Amino acid sequence: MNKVLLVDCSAETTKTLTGILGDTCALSGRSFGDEMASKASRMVILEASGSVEDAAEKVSKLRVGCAFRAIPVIVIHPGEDVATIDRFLSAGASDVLSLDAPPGACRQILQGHLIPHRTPLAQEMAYLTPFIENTVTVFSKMAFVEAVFQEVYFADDLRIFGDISGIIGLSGNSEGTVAITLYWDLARKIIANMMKVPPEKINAEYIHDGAGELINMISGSTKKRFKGTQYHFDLSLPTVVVGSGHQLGHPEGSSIAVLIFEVGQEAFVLQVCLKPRNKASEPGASLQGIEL
Amino acid sequence: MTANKDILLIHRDRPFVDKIVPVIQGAGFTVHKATGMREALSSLGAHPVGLIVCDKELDDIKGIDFLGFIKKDPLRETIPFMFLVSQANQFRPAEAFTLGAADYLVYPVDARMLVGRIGDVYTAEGQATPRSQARPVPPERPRVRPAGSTPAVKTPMPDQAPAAAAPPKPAPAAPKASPAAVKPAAPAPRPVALPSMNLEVSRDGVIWMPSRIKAFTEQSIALQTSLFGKAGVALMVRFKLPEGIFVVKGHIKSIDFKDFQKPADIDLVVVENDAWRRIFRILTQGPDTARTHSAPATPAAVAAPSGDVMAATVALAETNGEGLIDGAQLQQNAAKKKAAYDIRFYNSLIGKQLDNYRVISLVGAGSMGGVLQGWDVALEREVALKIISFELSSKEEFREMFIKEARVISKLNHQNIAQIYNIGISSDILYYAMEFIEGVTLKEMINKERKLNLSKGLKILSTVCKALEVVYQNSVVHRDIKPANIMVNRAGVVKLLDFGVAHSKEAKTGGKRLIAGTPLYMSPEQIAGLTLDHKSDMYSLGATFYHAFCGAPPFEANEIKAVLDMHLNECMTPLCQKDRGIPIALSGIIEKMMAKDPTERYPTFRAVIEALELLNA
Repeated sequence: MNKVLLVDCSAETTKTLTGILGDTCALSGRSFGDEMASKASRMVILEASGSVEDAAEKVSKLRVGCAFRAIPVIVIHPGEDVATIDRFLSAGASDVLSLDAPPGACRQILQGHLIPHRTPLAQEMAYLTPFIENTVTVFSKMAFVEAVFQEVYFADDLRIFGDISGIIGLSGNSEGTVAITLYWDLARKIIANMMKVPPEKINAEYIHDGAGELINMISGSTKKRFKGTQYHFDLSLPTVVVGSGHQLGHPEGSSIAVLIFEVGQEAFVLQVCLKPRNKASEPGASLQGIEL
Repeated sequence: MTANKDILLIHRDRPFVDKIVPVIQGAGFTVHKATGMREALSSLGAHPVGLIVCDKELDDIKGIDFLGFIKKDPLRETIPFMFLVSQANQFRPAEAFTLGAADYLVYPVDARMLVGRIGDVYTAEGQATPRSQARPVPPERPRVRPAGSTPAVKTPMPDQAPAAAAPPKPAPAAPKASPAAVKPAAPAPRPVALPSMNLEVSRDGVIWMPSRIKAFTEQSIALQTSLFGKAGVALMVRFKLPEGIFVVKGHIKSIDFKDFQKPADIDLVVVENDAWRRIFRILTQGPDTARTHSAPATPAAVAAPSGDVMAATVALAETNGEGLIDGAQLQQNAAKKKAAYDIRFYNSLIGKQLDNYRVISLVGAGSMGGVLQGWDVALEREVALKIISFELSSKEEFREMFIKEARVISKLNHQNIAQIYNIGISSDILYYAMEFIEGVTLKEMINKERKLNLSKGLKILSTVCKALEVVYQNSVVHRDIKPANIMVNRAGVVKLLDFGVAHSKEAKTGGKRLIAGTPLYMSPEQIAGLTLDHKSDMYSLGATFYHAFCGAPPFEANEIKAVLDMHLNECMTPLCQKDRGIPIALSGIIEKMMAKDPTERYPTFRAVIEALELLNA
């Protein structure tokens, strides 16, 4: 049975959700607390009450509690105001659902979210393994910490939920994007170790240089492993981004591998979207038979 | 600052309005509320409104159209207009400014920020050139410019401040003293406070992050952006304006960064080149070309069903076989809402795996189900995944029909029929995997070329007839032949698609028949809810190629019911009369395929092919 955590759900909402999901999921409810670890749950459902900003703040914290895992965070909120929905999605919600919708629709939408994200195929691990190994090596040699690879899953869009992200665009035989995302506490620790300064001295300039350097080193060392292969790429300049909810573009038809690492109890993530250019179904192939 | 503190807030979202209004009132403004244009116009007539704050979607019109309407009204065109847009619609602000908006805000809107910006508009408006002095309104001009009249061509007055920087003074409803000072507008030598304009920032020209411009001078731009940097870092700024897309280069002079959860404030020193000079001129003086306004939608008009609705497959009604379909239009709203839930459900599957199939993207959705692009991880090939809609999947009879029809269609082994590979249930989701076809549909060809080349069209028609002959031989009726369901793939092979509403002649549905099809191409017997056979498909195919050959469907009207009535009762214009270039013989073939009485149509698709071959001969 899937474990679903209901947060701040009223009795009526809990009853409705039990009717929708009770046959396939084990529902448990609790009130929102600042330190919410949601890793053990298959899905988190938050009933938004109070102001949109308050609810969005809770969504952000729930997303942090998920530690980058592919745990859907569903917000129950009436109405279909696009701005409100956008706000929740930017904060980290996977979907916003109104229980005024037909129960069948709610069930199908929630069931869809409950389907686990797929894991990589063998040919995908072929290009992901160098990224994993080089991330561990860079953290070990440059930041003197042990980063342990936890798991990988595939997402369909490149969204950043974290405090600091270093992003690099890839082009050449393969195109795509690689992004490393950390929360502030871990970022400060790592960058302080890299720059050999006390964590309290880390300022904006250090953050910019540190995050950029991290993604540069990981991508640069991985690039060498792909030389001469279909995955070989060139790097752009590193871009450093602050804040959550950013959605980045990625090549059409490609999936994004989300690689989760832990340093002690803290997690960070490397998102890799890599698509070799030479595919059989290139658009613009000549047409035969009937001339268009 | 003007004494007129009445604000008209036009917004449909009640919780948002309830939250925002007290804050605005607390700042000393009077707020009048409306949810649509009619209500807004009543308010404007009844109160001396000093500022309009408007959402992008109103009850009865789009916000941008309402803006255009207001700016064409000589008595209201000077009322400052503040526009609220979503982050996704970043091109809208430029369009709104062109029409004369004074400012815009991007959701989510903080109440205090809104009050601040309202204050800015009033402050800026207090320094603007009073339009009533610059351009007096002729007494004979009507109060409201009727829709469809010649649009006003507005050119900036020599002494008029640019709309982006200084909104015009509102026309007073009651006689009031005009501001005495008239300051000429000139390119600002110092930072000019701007209504925020969305743009993008990049370090490398590859990854672009959204950004807001807060102020600018001739030498620098103040930005708020999530893209981080440090002093000296080179950045590019991309402006998307109606005049075009401009990229300006610069380097970071200073960065102000307080909270890692929020964007940073960056001061950028720009490289002064032609692109920047042009943008600076646009920002300070307005767009290069004269502003023109398109006539807004007639406010009271009820939107007629668009061509897309007519061309979309609709499940019209259940009937026991008697009487005509009724209430089709009434179901459109319900159908749209259902479609929205369906699409959300399909989107939730993207990135997931159903058995051996990885779901990649949503291709399209209809009333019966959705089609997603997938990848067969076992056989390593692309597939199309057809997933039944949530509403139908909850009904056992439809699930059984879905499965049974998939089995029947899987036996239609023909190169011109999209093959079914597999049917399955994964996580309670009923789907089937079929051949994924990349190409162009007949609908796309018609849209692109208006009408098909005769020779090309005849080849496609003949091929589809061959496919339908196989369908008929297997006692299956497609029931949804239309241009969108005929595709030519990249290899030039014609494929007949979407047997989603196909019906095996043996299938029973408990005495009730679900009437489904596409209004523009439905056969009379289909509309009447009678038993269908291959001749119904023949009629639809005739209607499809009538459309393809002359560029217009055989029957057209503003309402679905009228189209259906025409299929039942009216004679169509012969194809050769619609288009003189079409041979009379071909026109005769199409006419026979579309005979009202099925017994007067060709007996088989083979007979149609033979007739076409005679034509070629």
